[in-house]
Amino acid sequence: MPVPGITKTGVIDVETYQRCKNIILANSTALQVLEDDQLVGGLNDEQLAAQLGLTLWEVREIRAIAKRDAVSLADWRKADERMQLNHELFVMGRGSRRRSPGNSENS
Amino acid sequence: MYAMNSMAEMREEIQSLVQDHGALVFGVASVEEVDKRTPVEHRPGNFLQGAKSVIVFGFTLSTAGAIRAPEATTQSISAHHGMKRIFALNAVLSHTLEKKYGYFATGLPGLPTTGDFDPSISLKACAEAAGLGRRGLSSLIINPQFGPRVFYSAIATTAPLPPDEPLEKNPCPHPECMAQWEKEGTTPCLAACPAEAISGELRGRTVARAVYNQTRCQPYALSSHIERFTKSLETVLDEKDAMKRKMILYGTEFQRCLYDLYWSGIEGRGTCWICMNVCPVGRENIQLL
Repeated sequence: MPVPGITKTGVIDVETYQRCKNIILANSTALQVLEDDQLVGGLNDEQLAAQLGLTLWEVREIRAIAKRDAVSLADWRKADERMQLNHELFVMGRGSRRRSPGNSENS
Repeated sequence: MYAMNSMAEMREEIQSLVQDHGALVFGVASVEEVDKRTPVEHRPGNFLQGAKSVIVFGFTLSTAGAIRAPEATTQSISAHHGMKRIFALNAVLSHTLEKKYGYFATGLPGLPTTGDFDPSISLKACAEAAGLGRRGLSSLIINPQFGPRVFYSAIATTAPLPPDEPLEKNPCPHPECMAQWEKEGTTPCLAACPAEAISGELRGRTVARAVYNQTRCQPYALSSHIERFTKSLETVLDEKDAMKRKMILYGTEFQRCLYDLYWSGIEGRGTCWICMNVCPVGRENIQLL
């Protein structure tokens, strides 16, 4: 499915990627901001392209790579442990007042 | 073509079909309402020429038992099974719209289709436009009845169905959260997020500010996903020693990624559900579902 305005394919220039990845990550929808119940951030690819003097293809490519590049394998492993811990805390916290089918004592 | 007296009747029949298949929520958005909320490259018209309406419905994915399982990953397996229902109903309804009613229809892809990290259509934007919820402090769509535990599916159609209005009142924050904010300066979702991916503040009954950091959330929400496989493959490609490369390839880290892909099929498999599990909105309606 072609994305409107994007026809180019290929590999992004590494120097352009290094120069722009942090700016694009910080201002893209990787950060979703609500203010007074209204969505106010971030910028879409077209807006980022206009601000940075890049093409739409360059912005999309940098954004897609930067989001993947931002997380290390160590981050993924750490996530497994912390997620399990928080889940256990949730299950234990809910246990005493949880209603269980066929077990009214847990009501 | 199926003769219909009115679009309102057609809408009622579609809603009955969706509910008969177990969907908990149903709404219709006009394409204009979705377009207002989305950049040009993510609009329903890119997927269906002449689209007039977006039909949105939703299920809970996991069983209540899986939510309470000792292992966090159990919920993701249950959710994976739940996704099958969503995809099946999307296909049934799309074909019904064409064969029975004579309008073009296509399921909208809520996952990336272009190699981008982001989905091709924002199902959150579709759900909001269809009046099914509002973005809450956690950045999830909070449905008044079921909170953030609803997973949405959307279909674009050329049928000009009567649309729902977006919700005026945000179900977030819940009174319990307002009380906790007053007392402790936090809420259940803010306190429980293991990634510290959400931050924000309440002001009275309003979400004064909320920031969702997708990059921090990624290794939690997508820990059994293509993104982790890509990262693991990178370590294999970087390893010059043939024996060490074999250890990585045959080891549990890499094999886990492969099995996760096998398990999840095309849908991917989310893993962290904690911000959904702890939200008090709609908790009473979800206990034994």
